[in-house]
Amino acid sequence: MTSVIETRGLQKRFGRVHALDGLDLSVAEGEVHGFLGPNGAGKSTTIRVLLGLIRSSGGEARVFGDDPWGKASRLHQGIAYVPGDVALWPNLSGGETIDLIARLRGADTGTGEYRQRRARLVEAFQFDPRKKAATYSKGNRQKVSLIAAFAVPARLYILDEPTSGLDPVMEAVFSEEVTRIRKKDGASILLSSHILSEVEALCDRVTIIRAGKAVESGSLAELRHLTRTEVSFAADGVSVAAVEAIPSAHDVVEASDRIHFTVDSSDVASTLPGLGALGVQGLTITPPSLEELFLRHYGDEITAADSSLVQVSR
Amino acid sequence: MSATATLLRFRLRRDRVLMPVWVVVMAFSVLFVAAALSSTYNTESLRTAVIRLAAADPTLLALRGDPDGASAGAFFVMEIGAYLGILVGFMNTFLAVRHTRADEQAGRTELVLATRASRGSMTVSTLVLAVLANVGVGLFGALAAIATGYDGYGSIVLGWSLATTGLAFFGIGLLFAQIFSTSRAANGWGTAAIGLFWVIAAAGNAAGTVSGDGLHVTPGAAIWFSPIGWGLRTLPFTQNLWWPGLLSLALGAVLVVIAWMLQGARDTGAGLVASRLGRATGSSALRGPIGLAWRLQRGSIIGWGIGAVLGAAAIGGLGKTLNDSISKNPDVSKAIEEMGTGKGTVFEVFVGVMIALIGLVVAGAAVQTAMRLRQEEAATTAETVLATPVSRLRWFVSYVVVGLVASAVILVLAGLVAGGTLANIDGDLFGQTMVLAIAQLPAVAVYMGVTALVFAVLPKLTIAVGWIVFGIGLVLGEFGSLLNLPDWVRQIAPTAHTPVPPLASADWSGTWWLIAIAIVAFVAAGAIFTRRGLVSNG
Repeated sequence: MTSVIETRGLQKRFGRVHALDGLDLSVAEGEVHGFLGPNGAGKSTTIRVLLGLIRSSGGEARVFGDDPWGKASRLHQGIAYVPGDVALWPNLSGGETIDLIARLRGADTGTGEYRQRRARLVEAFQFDPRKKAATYSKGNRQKVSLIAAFAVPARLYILDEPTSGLDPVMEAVFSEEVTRIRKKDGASILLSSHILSEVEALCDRVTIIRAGKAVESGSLAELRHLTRTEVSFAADGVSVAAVEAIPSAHDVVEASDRIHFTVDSSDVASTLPGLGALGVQGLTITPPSLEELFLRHYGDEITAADSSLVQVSR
Repeated sequence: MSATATLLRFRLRRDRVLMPVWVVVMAFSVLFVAAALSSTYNTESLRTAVIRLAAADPTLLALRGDPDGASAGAFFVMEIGAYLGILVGFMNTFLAVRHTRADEQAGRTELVLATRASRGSMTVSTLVLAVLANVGVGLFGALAAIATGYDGYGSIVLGWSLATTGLAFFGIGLLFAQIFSTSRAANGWGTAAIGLFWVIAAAGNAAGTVSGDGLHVTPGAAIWFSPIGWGLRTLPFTQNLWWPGLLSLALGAVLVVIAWMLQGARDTGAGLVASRLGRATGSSALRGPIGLAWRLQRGSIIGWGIGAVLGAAAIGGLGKTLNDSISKNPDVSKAIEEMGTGKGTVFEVFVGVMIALIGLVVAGAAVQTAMRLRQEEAATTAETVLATPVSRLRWFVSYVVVGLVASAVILVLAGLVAGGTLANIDGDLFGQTMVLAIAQLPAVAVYMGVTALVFAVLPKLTIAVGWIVFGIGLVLGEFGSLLNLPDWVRQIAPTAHTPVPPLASADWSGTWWLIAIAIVAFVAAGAIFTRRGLVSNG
């Protein structure tokens, strides 16, 4: 499998701020890669380095195997980009902007193929292309950028929080389009987001970034193994101590008449006989979600901050 | 009421740097020009001689003002009164738009109107701010005049004329801010109104009737149709009239009330001139980065272009009048020639100076096109273009091409208009004027090249430095001789190096230097820009 995006130890400093601090990121050909992280983690900075809009301060970045800064305009022939904060020219209409971007990307906007594709997207996104961009809401600006990106086929789509400002119906339209370009064109997609359900639904692999570093990277299945499955059942007659006796059970607590505990995802099956012996009722097993994983990494930061406070007070 | 007070405090805080800067600039303009005049024209007899010459020359009356006696103060008002009016006009239209339409367009007004603040409190707090700002300008303008040694009462009348003219333009700005839905359009129309009212006042001055002693000129009726004219007619230091200022105040008050009513009758965010629907698809002109650059800049370029062509028409008209008055008073022209640089006749000097001024107006269009590079970068719309196969160099060059081609076209048009009208006097003048107009292009290119270089090296300072460079060129070109600045200072202005008539003996070496400097600036700017990352706002 070849990589369309590959960074190794990528660095970007703005003055004394380390926006990227040794980021490793790898997006394989044909995959939808989720790029997750809290606000300010460095997602947009990474993307702007990958597009050659800013220059990295260190480390290596490769897009289609080439240097994104030196070969920017050539690489962009295969790239469609939706910025995180879509800025438009206020006195151009949405339709004009879409055609302009398509032409700048090298498309002939006179062909039937382009017109059809555009018309379908305008219809799907329920977009009025005649209004001046100055009058568009955030969601409508987002639509301009999405339609322009999807109207011309690309090898690589770089989408920076593409659904921010879209309503749930439009989010669904967006998901359909992602699925379509993936199946039809075999394109690769780097999807930055902090909406976990979106990433879980669309992405093959995920990189979680925090403070300019990748803290976790892998397929969703791999990442799920990193978190524990939550198990709970009705507390009738079963004591906490009895559950704690099961070796794989962690963090056993009783709350609102139910007993909750967690097990490593690989230990779920071996835990069940123990539960069966106890004769538990109303058993629920909740598989790990990306959200937990995300919060765990995000939570680390809080824990680290707390422990430093503790050290100070000592 | 408390919401209005809170808003006012907020507005004062927002303008805590800008307003003092405007007041200081106005006060220093008074101080500086007054000082320069008192050193150059230090005796009444010298001033008398100059005034008698000026009174015989409608061009000078239009470009300066009508004299009212030879006292130092009156002489000062004749030389610079109209320009102080223009300056205070800009301060006020910008102020009005900045605190109303610009906020509304950015969505900030909605934030405020969702609180206890009412629409009325937005207007009232802006009005109070404007009154404070103009009182400041009037006060410090008067103090500057007193510090120079001018008569105290006359100085206060001068301050009164500045403050009242300013409030009239505040009303104009506030009205345009209601009519147009973007601050860009409102500021553009505000600037056009200032230009129009200056032209009306200048026409009134030019059509003046000279008194028997040649020291007083009573302006034509046109002057009474302009706030700048009303400011001049307070006649500080001579008759010290208060009531023309009341005309300005009345106009300002009426416009503020109209603006208030318009605001009450419309939706927040909307203008009276509704934003029209655009095209559903991009026209074939909106193709590459050049098409985009032209589309973004054409409004501003056309605006400057109209200014340049009107200026060219004025050269033709005034040139005819000047030529007539020269043929009537050969003594006067001889005297002016002796005062001048010693190159060419009065008529030729006039044509040379006017064409250089047109060059400067065209430079405005070019400088603003270079500034657009920064605006696009700051708004991140540049990233949208640069994320496509368009290279950084191609994007940069597109704006340079649009700026230079547009400048060349405007100069040719201005040359045609000026040359065409001057051809009535002498057929040869057509070709000569045309050549002189086109020869302004290298100077225009230097203005643009310097701005582009600032954009490449210090992107965040592009807009500020661009206007400063343009402003310095304006001051040196328009007032260089009046302020009696040393030659080397005046030589800083690129337009000082363009050929001057008579064409037969014109010096073209400056032109080659200008071309060389412009090329170096553009190449350096392109090389540096393509090697730096984009820097967005903040």
